[in-house]
Amino acid sequence: MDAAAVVIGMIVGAGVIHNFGLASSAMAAATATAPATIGGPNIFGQIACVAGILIMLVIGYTYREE
Amino acid sequence: MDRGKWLILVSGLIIGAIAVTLVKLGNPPNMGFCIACFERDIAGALGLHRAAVAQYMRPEIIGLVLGSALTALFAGEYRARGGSATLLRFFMGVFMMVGALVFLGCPLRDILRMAGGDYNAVVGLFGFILGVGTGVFFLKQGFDLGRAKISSSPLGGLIMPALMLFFLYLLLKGTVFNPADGGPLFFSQKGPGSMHAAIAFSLGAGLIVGFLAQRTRLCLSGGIRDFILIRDNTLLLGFIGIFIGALVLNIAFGLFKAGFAGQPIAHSNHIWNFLGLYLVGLTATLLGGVPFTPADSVRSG
Amino acid sequence: MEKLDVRGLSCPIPVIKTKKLIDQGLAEIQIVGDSAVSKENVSKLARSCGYTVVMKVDEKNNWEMEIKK
Repeated sequence: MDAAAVVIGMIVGAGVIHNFGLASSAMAAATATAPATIGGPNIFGQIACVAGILIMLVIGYTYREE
Repeated sequence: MDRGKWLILVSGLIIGAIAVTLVKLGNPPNMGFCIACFERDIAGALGLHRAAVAQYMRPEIIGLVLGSALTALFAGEYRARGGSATLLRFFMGVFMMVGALVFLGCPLRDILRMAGGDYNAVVGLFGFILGVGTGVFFLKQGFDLGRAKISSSPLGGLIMPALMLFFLYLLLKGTVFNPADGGPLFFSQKGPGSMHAAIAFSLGAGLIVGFLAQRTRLCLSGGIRDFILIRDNTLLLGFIGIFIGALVLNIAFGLFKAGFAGQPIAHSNHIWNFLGLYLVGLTATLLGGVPFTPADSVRSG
Repeated sequence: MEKLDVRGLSCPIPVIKTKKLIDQGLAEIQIVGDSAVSKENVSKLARSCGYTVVMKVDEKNNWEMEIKK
């Protein structure tokens, strides 16, 4: 059931991420009106990613049994 | 090489081949089978988000959960268990999705993208390896989310498969619950969510992959992790098998296209390709397995 | 004999804990667990480190093994 909690977290997470516009955009070829873009996350996506890493580091550090 | 290693290598080859075949049958390019992307599409189908290009009830995930659950049941390995920091795991799942959507793929899609010639995915792989390495560091320090207890009833473990069966029913029935809104279930008219193989193929593929993954204990972060931790390369062979299987079919189908630019549903912002999969690798290792593994409920009922 | 209980622990913690005891040079370890996956992983680790594995209880979701160097 814990593994299922992860899956549900991912599905709900996907919902939240897209509603808040945190997902990366794909690269785009140049069009008549716009230059090519390399794509990637916007600033909020970047913040979410870095925050996630920091949070995981904290979790990794604090959940030690010794 | 012993039997177990051959088994997982061949399983990997089959899974890689199935993934590319799904692309040929309609799935998005370099996305024959992606746990994160497909769960995102399912979220869209349910209306949990309204990104119009990512809405489809992916039968691959349904098949994956059902296939592995049935396989575990028939092997006598099924057991409902839980209670190991469950809410924390939920949020860690949220962050695995963050990382995956920043990279635009889960580790499985990373392999498929590399097998499609996407060099951006190689950057992601480095991030993934380092993320797993960081997780291994914490594991060696004694990281432990706590014991899960075997439940007194199997019902809790049946929730996920039952939910997936219900989703399948909704997909097949096609009832629109909120006509004014256009769903649920929502179906993308354009973009990746609109690209999908026929339901039967997707479901069948998911069932097969679920069976293979459950029997071989396939785990992508486990592959890197076990190699770092105990120099064991068994799971890594599965990883390599998927890559080779997909690569061969990509070349055969003319889908292989090497480079950084012009890659489908990918980006070249390398710091974030790296950090996105770093987050996934780290979180997966702390959880005990990649998105692929909890999705096929190997760890619990 | 050293006893180790890995019941309910996530992959790969059973292997890590077993390895820690093996690295301490213990010649006899009794390990008890409750998942088929951890049984496979732990016995594989033990054998690769030169231990013999004797299953005392060998059911799919309930096992007990003694490993001896």
